[in-house]
Amino acid sequence: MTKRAGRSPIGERVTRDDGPAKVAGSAVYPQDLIVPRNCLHAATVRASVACGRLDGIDATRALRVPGVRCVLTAADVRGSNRFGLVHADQPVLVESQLRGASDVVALVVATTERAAREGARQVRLSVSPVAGLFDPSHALDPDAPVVHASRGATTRHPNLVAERTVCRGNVTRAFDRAAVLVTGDYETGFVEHAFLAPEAGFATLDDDGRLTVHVATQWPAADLRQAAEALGEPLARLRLVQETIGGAFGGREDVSLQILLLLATRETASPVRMVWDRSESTRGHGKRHPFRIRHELAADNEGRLLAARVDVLIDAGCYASTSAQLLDNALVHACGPYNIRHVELTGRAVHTNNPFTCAFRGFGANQVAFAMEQQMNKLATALQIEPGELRRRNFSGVSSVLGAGSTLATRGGLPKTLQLAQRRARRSALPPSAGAVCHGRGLASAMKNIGFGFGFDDHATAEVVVTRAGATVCVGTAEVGQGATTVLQQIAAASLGFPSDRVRVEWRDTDVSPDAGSSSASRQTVASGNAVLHACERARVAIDARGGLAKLPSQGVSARYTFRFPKTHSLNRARARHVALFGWSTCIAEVAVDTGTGEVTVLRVVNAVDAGRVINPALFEGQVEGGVVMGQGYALQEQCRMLSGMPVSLGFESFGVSTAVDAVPNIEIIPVESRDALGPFSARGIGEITMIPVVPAITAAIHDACGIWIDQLPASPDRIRAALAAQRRGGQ
Amino acid sequence: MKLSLRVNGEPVAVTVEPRITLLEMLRSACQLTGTKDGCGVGECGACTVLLDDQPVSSCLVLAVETQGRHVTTIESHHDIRIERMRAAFLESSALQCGFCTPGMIIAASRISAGASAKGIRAALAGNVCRCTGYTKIVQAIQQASAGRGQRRRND
Repeated sequence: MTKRAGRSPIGERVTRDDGPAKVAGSAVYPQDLIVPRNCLHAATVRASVACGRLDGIDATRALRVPGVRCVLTAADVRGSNRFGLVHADQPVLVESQLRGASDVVALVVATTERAAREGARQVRLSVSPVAGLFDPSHALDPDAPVVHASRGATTRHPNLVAERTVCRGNVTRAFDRAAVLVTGDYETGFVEHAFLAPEAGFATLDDDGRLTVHVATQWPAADLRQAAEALGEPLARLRLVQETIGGAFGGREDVSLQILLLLATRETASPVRMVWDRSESTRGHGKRHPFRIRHELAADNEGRLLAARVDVLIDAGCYASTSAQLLDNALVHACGPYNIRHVELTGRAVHTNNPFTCAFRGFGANQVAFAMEQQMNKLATALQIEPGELRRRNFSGVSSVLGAGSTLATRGGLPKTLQLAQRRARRSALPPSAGAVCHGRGLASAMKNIGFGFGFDDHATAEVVVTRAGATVCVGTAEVGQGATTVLQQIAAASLGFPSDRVRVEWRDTDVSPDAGSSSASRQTVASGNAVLHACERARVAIDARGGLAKLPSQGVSARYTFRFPKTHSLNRARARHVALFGWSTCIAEVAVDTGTGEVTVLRVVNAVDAGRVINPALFEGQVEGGVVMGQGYALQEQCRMLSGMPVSLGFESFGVSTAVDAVPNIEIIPVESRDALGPFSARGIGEITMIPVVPAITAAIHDACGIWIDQLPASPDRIRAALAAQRRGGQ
Repeated sequence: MKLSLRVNGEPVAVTVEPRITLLEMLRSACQLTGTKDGCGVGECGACTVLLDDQPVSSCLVLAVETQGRHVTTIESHHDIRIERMRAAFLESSALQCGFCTPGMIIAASRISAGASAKGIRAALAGNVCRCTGYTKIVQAIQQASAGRGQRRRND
């Protein structure tokens, strides 16, 4: 294949491969599966409290409901009855201790959905109240209620999920010689992913005795691994088929109803379907981690950063999920993309009886970026240095290291994102403030890890079959809406010299498509992208060896490749590659603050994002626009409220999700490209970095407009009014 | 209860329980699963269909209310305004996960052609999209109303 046909599809606005089905309404999401006549339906039984002791389950009345086949409880699970991405600490069905909102006590299986739900209502639970722990700042008190009794053996307190300290240099001495020291206390809350499609699925017992589950998930291999252990089944007996995924944002990385469906099918030897409604979905998956951050940042007269002391307290909620990893990630990002010699970083992730907290677009980087960039903007104000100039003076060089001691392979186009964002923003002036409405502009830069890092063996495998007609790429990459399969199609097409529409990406079936890992950590463009690229390059060599495409046998040639991220190291190791790769961006926001009502309107956002190389501009823009609006929501109105560990926000309006009316109407996107050896065609994932700087840029704009710093998220009208009142009293 | 109505131009006779919603009837009795169930309480708009040419949240309409009326869903292939919007959404890349897309396209198809960007946004206030940030959706609607709904070449 020496001759390549036509133009390379890299950089082209290729139409999404799943687009035609999605606009026709024919894309099949898990809730849309047409199920066979003999299909049974499952419904969960959950306690009305987050925390308690389960003394008994009385299924007598439920079993009398016409159509109810069985009521499954912990004894039916047979395996470990435990799952969890890192520590298997979540029960499939609760045996005795109720720890949080997501707990399921029993599963009712019936011939109709209505009978299953009625059966679930008729199950009587005896629950003894137990004092709950809902405030993370009391989680490590000696007399705090213990969420997981068994955890005590490995940590200094049973409620401690993880603890981490990173020290470099001498912070105390550096603080002494600093010209200015900025101290801030920051707080962020629970946020709901609010993906549009609630959890649903369908499982079958196949003729060969295997169990297949049809769901929407971010990480099929991890789901099956956890299911096998929890149910006591050999992994080879389980298969997962991805249906179309109705959004994820991290909220589908943990198991939700997968194991319950497999259990019900195994126990009844029948196909079983289950659909969660919106409120059950809200109880059933994790939330964004609330953080409390104390941040001290010192600089000299010229604004050169000297030292930082940062302490973070993270509410992990009732199960560990990936909170220990998120803590490490937060510390790596806690001092931003800057060169700081002296740092003391400490952090704890603690259990409470709040909902478990899990991956959510940014994975702990958002919360610390909000604090760090707010600190930078406070410092700029104190030293009267222009915020962009302050950053320019401190950006980490390639040979230097980030605050936590993480070495960089490249700092990419970070300085360029700043330069271009500022140049664009200056093209138009802020509207003048009028009456009670003040206008302001704010800036923030940010970074985000790509790939898991911290020593995780992070890999993806792809297999390609090339015939004279085209190519089929098998790679188990979860297409969550980001456009991954289209990007992979373009990469394969570019490598093989086909037009994009002659490449088909098969990603859904774990029997067909090899494990590509999780669609998270902005990793799939690099991970699956490289796996596909190298598999295609191997196929090309094989094709050339056979004398070209025209001479291929009818079955074509196939090739396989496993891409591994470069080796990374634990945060315990000083000055090391903790993360394989970072992405970079700079954001400028313009707001109008109504000082009477406290309402903030975002008028314009400029976001310059270093994508390495943009594979598909339409998909790139979609990620930036979606990330900006999600960041706007996080900054101003999104919050999932809890009462005694139960979410009381149960719908889109109370989650604070932006509508088309709230969303910033004017988003200006600047793609920055920079050479990078790791990504395919230099490309990097950008799903998360698009959102991270938006929040501190908005809070900086609020300060620019009316002189108040809002250090708690969301910057809601009541908080703005309270800060303005304090300012009038001379408090700020 | 026996109902007769028109769905996407075709006469349909169904037997439904009085308590079920139009959304449930479409998805189960009619097996038209293009209309999505995102919240069940009228907050997200994923279930938007046309009832006698007016966009409604089908989770807030009882099936029995549709007796003798005309329901249009995303599966319709007889409605030029829906067709045009479909093409514009595809061309403008105005979708990601796609779950809001059917309801969004139905709602968008009835926005008056000359509507301003602000007017379009107001008309979409009942349709939540968590992925796109709405920019490309507004652009797609403007493009469709400008009559430029053709698909761009793929490569």
